[in-house]
Amino acid sequence: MIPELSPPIEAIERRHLGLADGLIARAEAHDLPRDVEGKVRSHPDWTAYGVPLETAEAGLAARPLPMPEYIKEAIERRVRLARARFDPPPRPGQIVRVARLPDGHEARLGAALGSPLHVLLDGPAPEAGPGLWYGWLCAGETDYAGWFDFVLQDGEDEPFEPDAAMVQVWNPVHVPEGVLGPVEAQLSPARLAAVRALAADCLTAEAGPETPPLPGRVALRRAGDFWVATGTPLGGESDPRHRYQAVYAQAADALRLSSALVQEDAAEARGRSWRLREWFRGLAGRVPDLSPAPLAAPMAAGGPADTGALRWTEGGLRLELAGDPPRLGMVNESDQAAVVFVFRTDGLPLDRYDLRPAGRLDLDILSEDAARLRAEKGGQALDLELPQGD
Amino acid sequence: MTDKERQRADARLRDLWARHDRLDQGEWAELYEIVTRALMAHRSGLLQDLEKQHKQEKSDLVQDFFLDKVYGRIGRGACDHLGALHKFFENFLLDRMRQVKRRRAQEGGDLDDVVSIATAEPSPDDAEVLAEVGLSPERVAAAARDWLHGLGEAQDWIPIFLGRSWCPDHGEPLSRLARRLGIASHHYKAKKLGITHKGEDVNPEGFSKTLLGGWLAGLGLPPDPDHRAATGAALKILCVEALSWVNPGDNERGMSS
Repeated sequence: MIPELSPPIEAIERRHLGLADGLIARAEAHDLPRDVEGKVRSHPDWTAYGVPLETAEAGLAARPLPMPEYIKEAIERRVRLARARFDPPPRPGQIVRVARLPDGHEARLGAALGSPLHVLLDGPAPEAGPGLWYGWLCAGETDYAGWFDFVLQDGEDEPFEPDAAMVQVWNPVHVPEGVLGPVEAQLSPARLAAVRALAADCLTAEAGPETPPLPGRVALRRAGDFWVATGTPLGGESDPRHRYQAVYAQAADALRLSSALVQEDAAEARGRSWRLREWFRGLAGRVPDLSPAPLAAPMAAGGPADTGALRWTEGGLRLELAGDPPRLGMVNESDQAAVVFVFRTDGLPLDRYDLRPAGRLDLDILSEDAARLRAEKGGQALDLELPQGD
Repeated sequence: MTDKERQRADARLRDLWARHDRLDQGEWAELYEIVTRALMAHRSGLLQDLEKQHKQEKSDLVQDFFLDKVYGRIGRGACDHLGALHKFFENFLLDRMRQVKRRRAQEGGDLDDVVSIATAEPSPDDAEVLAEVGLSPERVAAAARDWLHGLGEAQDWIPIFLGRSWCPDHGEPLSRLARRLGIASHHYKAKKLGITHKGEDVNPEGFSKTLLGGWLAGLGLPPDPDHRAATGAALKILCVEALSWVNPGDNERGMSS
């Protein structure tokens, strides 16, 4: 007979892939993008789980149930965790809660987290994308621990959130820094090193170990120079841990897709920056009134210093690109006020700016509507066709 | 229950539920009281089915719900009133019913490649490997019985862990067993006992400090590769003794922990 693991896999699936209670609550509060709320409300389980009880018994029994020891102990753990003082996040070794995707990502992905996830942070991963952190998903269902689930230990790792009692080193993720929520545990450097050793084993493991598959049981074993507690290897198709791991692999996909959006946005920003620089480099050749000018001051950190500066001699304006992402900077080097207009593609004015002597203006000229810029001073005018936005 | 009492209970539930991360012990006790009083008054067809057809105790279901949905943070929404609590409980019962139905459907299906630890009956081969180190199955069995009988009240969880979880063909997962029987710190105790692994590839130094390691050492079986076969045979015999020690009819609740 297949051993019964706790909690039931049906409950775990509903938490992360199905109609979770938290998702129902957000739909009822209209706290989801419209299309996501529509998906939630049209979920096949909505009738069963989402519709309020018509005959709910809202009374109270005369007496509460006596509190058993195991619940008392669990509460003590929770109280210890509430009292813990962790370093401000994010730091390597911290287990953080991720309750929601970054702003705007739910609408772009047409999806939301069914329930909060937990991630053990390994470290920042700027090579993957700006503001991304690398780590491993954590979960609380230690009955389902497999050969590459690092089970936290009371003595060494407390206090820790019971819902994050094991680290799924087989389930690595990148997570945007902006969603790294409250810290739920903080592993010591030695324990983080042990997790990394197990993760390295997971990546390099070739053949299955000789240890038999025993769902629901924990094994003490070597990982590099460390002793670690894990589950046992997964068995054949009937091992319930396959279904469990599929749930969490899919739940982690939401974080992976969100990180992919961060990477996509960064690539888009790089593309915009490149287009702007190319446009600026070609300006002097296209607009006879402009000529190269020495930079008046060191460029801001991260600014595209290689584009140089231009001067509109008749109007006394200096133009340069500055900042990251770059913006068009205009400095009035004359003793007379100038006016700058930005026009839309249909010719109507979009913005107007007064530029006083020695004043500076920084414009995001890659907005979708901006098509042309005109600077006026003392009866002189400079017209620039702006680069296409997206 | 008057409207005023209900409003007061709703407000208290809403407040405690929302401050879930920062409750002290007294507030947890209060939340437990509200939840269990409310849900012990719950009535539904689903609950009736689970109780009558599937022999599930209402109090167990309520306490399981408390641990899973109130104590646990995952997958919970706001709970503004007792009616919402009843709905959460009803959803929990629906999950439970789906689990029961799935298990029914699976009955008869075996985990063919999921095996037990020390379930096989001691064999003539075991007698041979024990003889090689100067032991006999009878002597090991007597030592196992002495050890189990000699355990103090504070260690009464040991035969339970061995007989219900570690030794049987398809033993109950330790966390579930511990929760069901109210055995605290089960991970720590499993580690102390030395059943976090079957005895192969264990850290010899660490295993020798466990209770099982100590019992084996008392038989003259250190946890090294030369004694692996004899250690395995001795553990099989210990399991036979532990299985006969555990009586399913025992009243197990209220164990010391």
